Amino acid sequence: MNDKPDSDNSKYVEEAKKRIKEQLSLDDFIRKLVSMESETKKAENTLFKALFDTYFLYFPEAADLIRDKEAFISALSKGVKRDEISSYLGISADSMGYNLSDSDLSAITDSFNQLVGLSGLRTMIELKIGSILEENYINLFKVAGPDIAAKLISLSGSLKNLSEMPSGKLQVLGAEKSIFGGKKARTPKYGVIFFHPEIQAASDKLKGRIARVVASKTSLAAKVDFFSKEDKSGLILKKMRKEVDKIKNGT
Amino acid sequence: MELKRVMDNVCWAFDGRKRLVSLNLTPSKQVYGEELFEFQGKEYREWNPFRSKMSAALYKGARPLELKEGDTVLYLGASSGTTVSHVSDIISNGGKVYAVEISEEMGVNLVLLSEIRKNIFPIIGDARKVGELGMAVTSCDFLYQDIAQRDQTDIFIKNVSKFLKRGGQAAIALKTKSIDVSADTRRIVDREVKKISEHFKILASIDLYPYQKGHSLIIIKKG
Repeated sequence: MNDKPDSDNSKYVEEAKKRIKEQLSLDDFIRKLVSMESETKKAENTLFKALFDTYFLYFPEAADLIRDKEAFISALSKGVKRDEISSYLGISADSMGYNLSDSDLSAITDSFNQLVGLSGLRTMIELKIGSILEENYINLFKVAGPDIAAKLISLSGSLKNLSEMPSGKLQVLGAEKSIFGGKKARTPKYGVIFFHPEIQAASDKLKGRIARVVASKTSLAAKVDFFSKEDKSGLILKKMRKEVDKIKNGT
Repeated sequence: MELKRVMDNVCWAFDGRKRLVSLNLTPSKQVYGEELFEFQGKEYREWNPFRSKMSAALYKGARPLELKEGDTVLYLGASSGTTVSHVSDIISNGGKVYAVEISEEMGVNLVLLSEIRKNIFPIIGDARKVGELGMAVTSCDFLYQDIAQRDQTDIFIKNVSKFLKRGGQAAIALKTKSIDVSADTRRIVDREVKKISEHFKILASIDLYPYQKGHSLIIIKKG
């Protein structure tokens, strides 16, 4: 039946290992970092919510003033006790909240330190992604910005896929839910590029048309990064600026 | 506990509930966190229908596949090797499973598995071009395909024509969402079954719900 039966699989295992080694790339690392960043962010938010609720039990009057995560972190870093935080916020240390002893408060302090750690970790990962992109994909980095560029690479799988993608598809990457969600939803105008500053700055009416320009220039940037690696971002950004202004001026 | 044979090295185990199990080729080693248990001095691995479409088909009442100890199997779309490991249990040390997977990331697990299970022959490559992947074997006793591609049926027909021996069985796990996201699942299955039936005899077409959503397993025989 077999013309040349393989006696054992070692040849195949070696060959497969070789191919895997060849095929794994920087884009795979970027994808993993992007997912690590989003998971870290989720963990950070989950812990923040739980910790906030616990703190609310202890000192609701203060917690009410620092519902925002950043504000919460900067306030509690001055100390978690009522007298410490009340002087920072300029409120009375009297509270209707449940009194906690110093040793009970350590649960809050420890969780807070973890939250600060997670927050720092996320910032570190974001910076790492940014520096990798700046070093390797300068056009995409400048035109789309590090966050969007990383997400686009992650969603498309690789820079190669992204560079081969029509800009209309790039425009809606990340909006798969609303594309395939059903027949009632209209075709989306933007996916992850929605957070691009040009689109954010545009009025609601023009967002769709500007998204098209941003997608087309981002696609161009991906192509330049993939095929030539030269820094043409200045030129691409200038073109984008011109086209965006044209739309905004209604010409 | 009581065992009832299904296929070579595969049984239904009854211990309060009915579970599909396969004889563990590498005792004490798990592949994907499945449960291991001993019965009469032999170790078995649970074959989870939520993880493996082949198992789901048996749970949904498929007749035992013509897949035996010592067989040579061509497995397209091996992924990380969950189902492949059970095929490896079935064909045992005398058999060979050529496991083709295109994604290098999934391939890593497959290669790690192949180092423990010597009857798995991993190939990192495209199922559309099996002939070009440097596989020494040109004919197999059983062919299984589980790839989520739009042209999965054509790939299946091509590979069965080329590699499956006459009279052999093959199965394809059809993912309808890959063919058309918006069309009706049953219509797609009917259409694909018709397409396959122009070439081979259809033995069964099994909807894998609720174990696997939007998947059907189609079993054929090559005349």
